[in-house]
Amino acid sequence: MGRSWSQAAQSSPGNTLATAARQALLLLAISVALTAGRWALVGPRLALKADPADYEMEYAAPLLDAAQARRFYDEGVHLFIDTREAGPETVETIPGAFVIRAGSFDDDMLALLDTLVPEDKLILFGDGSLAVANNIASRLIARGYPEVSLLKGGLGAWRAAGGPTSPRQPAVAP
Amino acid sequence: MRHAPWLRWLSLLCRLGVGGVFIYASLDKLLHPGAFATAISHYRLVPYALLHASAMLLPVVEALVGLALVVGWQRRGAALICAGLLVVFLAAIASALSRGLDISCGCFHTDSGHAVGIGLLWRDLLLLLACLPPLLGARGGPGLDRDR
Repeated sequence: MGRSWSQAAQSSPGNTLATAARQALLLLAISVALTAGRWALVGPRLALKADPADYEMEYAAPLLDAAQARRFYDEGVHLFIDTREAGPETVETIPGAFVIRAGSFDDDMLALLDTLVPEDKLILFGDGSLAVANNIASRLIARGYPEVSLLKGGLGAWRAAGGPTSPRQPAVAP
Repeated sequence: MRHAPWLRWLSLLCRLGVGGVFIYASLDKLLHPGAFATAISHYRLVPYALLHASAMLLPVVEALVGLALVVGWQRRGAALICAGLLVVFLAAIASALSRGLDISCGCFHTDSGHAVGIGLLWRDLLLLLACLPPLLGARGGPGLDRDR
């Protein structure tokens, strides 16, 4: 009768693992060589859609996609916050959205002092990049508004998901 | 070194099973490295500068070790790499779950696929266990390695 697998493994575990490690190094070296050759042929044509600015960022609040945001909009419980600075691109917004901008955060918060309460569920959106909205989210959380979410893709994703828009009415003069 | 017949069969079964899964997992990634780089980026674990290199290297490693396991060449090393990769995958999935990321796993298909969930942890744990017989035991069945 042959020896069991565990007996065989126990008889020379050092040799077995040394062999495995040696073979693994050989396989990895072959893989790297093959990849280097493939990189020379394919690498420059790779299409990477990840946004470096968003990728390196630690989000202060959970992310919502546009479909989830639309459900919350229809439920009418959440408040939408437009974080975009005033400009020619910001003629419309999500209906009912308030405006809180990074450059005039304190003034915008003052204008909304009687409107926002800490229990409000806030959904922040911008022009697609989450960098500005994330900055405002962290400041809102520090001010005592913990129920904050970020809309992935901003107003563009909202429009693409069929979300309604209306002319933007700034909370305070730009 | 001789082994009990059932252990040889078990080793062969695990070798072909794990090898087949790794070869299958590599195919779509080899064809669409850009989409796979994006899938990796969703985990937000690999530094941005290394995304492309990871997306190019990983499927080649998967294909090579899968092939090595199936043909029984350098099987212990291939099984060791498979086990290491599975530990990395398990850690990535657990990390994504703990952060509440709603992403597709990018395991077999780059455009869509299984959402990251507990089920994937069990699947990868099972594959990790299946790496042990070819790593520590007999070759089992035909193969190119000299030790049987």
